[in-house]
Amino acid sequence: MEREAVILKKSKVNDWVNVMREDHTVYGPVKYKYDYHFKELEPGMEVTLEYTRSMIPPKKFLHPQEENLITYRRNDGMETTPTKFEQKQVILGVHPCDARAIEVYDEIFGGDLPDVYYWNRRNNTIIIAVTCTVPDENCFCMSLDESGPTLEKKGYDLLLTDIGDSYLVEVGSMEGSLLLQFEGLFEKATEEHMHAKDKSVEVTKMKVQRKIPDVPGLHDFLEHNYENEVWAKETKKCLSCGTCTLVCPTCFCYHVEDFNRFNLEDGNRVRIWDSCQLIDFAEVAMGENFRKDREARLKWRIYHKLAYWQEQFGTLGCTGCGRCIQYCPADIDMTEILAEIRGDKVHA
Amino acid sequence: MDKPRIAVYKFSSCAGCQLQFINFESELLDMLGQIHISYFKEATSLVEDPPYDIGFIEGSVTCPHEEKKIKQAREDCKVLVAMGACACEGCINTLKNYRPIEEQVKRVYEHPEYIDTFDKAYGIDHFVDVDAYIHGCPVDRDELREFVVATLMAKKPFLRPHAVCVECKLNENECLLLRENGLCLGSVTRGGCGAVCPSWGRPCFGCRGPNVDANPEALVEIFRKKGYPDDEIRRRFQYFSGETPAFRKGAEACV
Ligand code: SF4
Ligand code: SF4
Ligand code: SF4
Ligand code: SF4
Ligand code: SF4
Repeated sequence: MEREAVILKKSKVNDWVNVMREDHTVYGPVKYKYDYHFKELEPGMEVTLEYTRSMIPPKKFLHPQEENLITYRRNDGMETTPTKFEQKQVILGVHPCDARAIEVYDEIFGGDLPDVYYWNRRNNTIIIAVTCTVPDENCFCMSLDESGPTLEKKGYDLLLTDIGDSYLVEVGSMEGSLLLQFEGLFEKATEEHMHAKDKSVEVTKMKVQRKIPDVPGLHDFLEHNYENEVWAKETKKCLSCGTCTLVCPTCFCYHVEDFNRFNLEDGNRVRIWDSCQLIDFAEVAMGENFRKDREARLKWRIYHKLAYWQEQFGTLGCTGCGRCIQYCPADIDMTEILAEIRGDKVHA
Repeated sequence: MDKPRIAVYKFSSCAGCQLQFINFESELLDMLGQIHISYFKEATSLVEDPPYDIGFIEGSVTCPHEEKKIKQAREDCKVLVAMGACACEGCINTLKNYRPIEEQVKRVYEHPEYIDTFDKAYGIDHFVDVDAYIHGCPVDRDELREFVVATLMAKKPFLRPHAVCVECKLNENECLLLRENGLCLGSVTRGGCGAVCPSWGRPCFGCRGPNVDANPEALVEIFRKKGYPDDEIRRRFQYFSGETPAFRKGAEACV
């Protein structure tokens, strides 16, 4: 038994959250009217670890919807304003598809010119992932990573897996193990518990029915089918509302605005989530717009995620989380589009 | 540089948009440090003669007397700005455009014989060239500030040209169209209001007019699939911005 693990009774999850809260800010999925949303867990709030997906992915804790970059006074200096973390943030209940998306983010915001705002947040973040047990018809994580609904050894500080009346808690980092140093919450895990996890994962994998076939061949496949008539048909339905990218855990695009005050001296430089589906996304100086055409925009998202991302970052830009399918008001579904071009079915 | 001389006009409207200037409250002194108010009846009885540098027009044009007045305003102002839904798209004043005028005048006024009005109400660009538009019913204060400040700094203001849905997602609202089959026009309506209506659980009724690349026919299809009768869909498109080309397309897609 090489995996370092303990057992947490489900009845003790809230106690654990409460002790973590003493010196961390803890976020977790909370059910609202229809969807789950990652919220700060305060006393009396109920966290749900058995959920299919949150509407907005936990990416918002690393790259928030709006972030103030600089507070300035013109001709009189400026101050960069990365958020100060008095205590680390714990994101509890991150699904494997979203944890993999955070690994993708690490690539994007890393590299030769690391994004200081991102890494300030990232270095102050502890990820407690949870093996997914309730995938729905929109999930296709298995096509993109064979571990599908669970994580193997990386992408988490701690990983919880439902094994009945308890969670198996596996340790992925030193930081994670420090969150297990509380008296009376955890028990030793046995070989049996490990088997229970493996079994549960096998069962869940069977439930992930949606597939994209031949992922390694996607790049060439898409390049050969840029002119397929399916695109025009889907474009007719598309509202260019941006939802498919705003809810996507790997989409990272933002625009930067300077908001000035009436004294014309003081202002803030803010970055705000953007989307390649929007008409103003590719507009440059003098009003030129190199992706004005709706069809080009619709295609761009799918080509970026499934083809060009590889060249740019060495991974794909999709983890199969299913959000873009579930939340598109026009029922535009990239797995269906690919299947239609191929002339086959999405569901195996 | 001298402070630009500002005029704020009222046409057929509720006066709520110009009130947004006054609503700057704690920022008013800073604002008045940058602009000079020459004509703004809601704020001051002092009136200076034209020409003005920037004219903000509130209200739609609904009668012959207003047509004359808007043409004069165009002559008197170097830059003419349509401020708010009435000036930009005609707003709810255009509700009269879809029924015979005699019938409506009779229904509303005790003495219809005194009424001298057009058959239809229009946004101001039906009569004059307009240099800029600030949308909304009423205009959003942050957008109004952004417009004024950016203009003074000779930079392009950030006024969202895309759909309300974007801000709805930024606010993490649960989508009313998707989740409640709501008759929400947010996906074809220009953002910038912070998706205020959906954020309070009310479907967007399109007060800011169509977004730049609205696809109303696609939305009509979605509403139909959700079981809305065409008549109801058409009336929704004609509520605030029915005279805009995009919303007219939406209305005309309904049988
Ligand atoms: S594909 Fe769907 S979610 Fe994406 S922009 Fe088009 S309508 Fe909106
Ligand atoms: S492209 Fe769609 S399925 Fe893939 S990660 Fe993004 S939202 Fe999820
Ligand atoms: S799909 Fe669009 S919004 Fe998402 S990362 Fe690519 S360009 Fe950006
Ligand atoms: S509630 Fe309306 S505005 Fe908000 S996302 Fe849904 S369709 Fe768009
Ligand atoms: S949500 Fe729609 S109706 Fe409400 S203020 Fe915004 S544009 Fe107007």
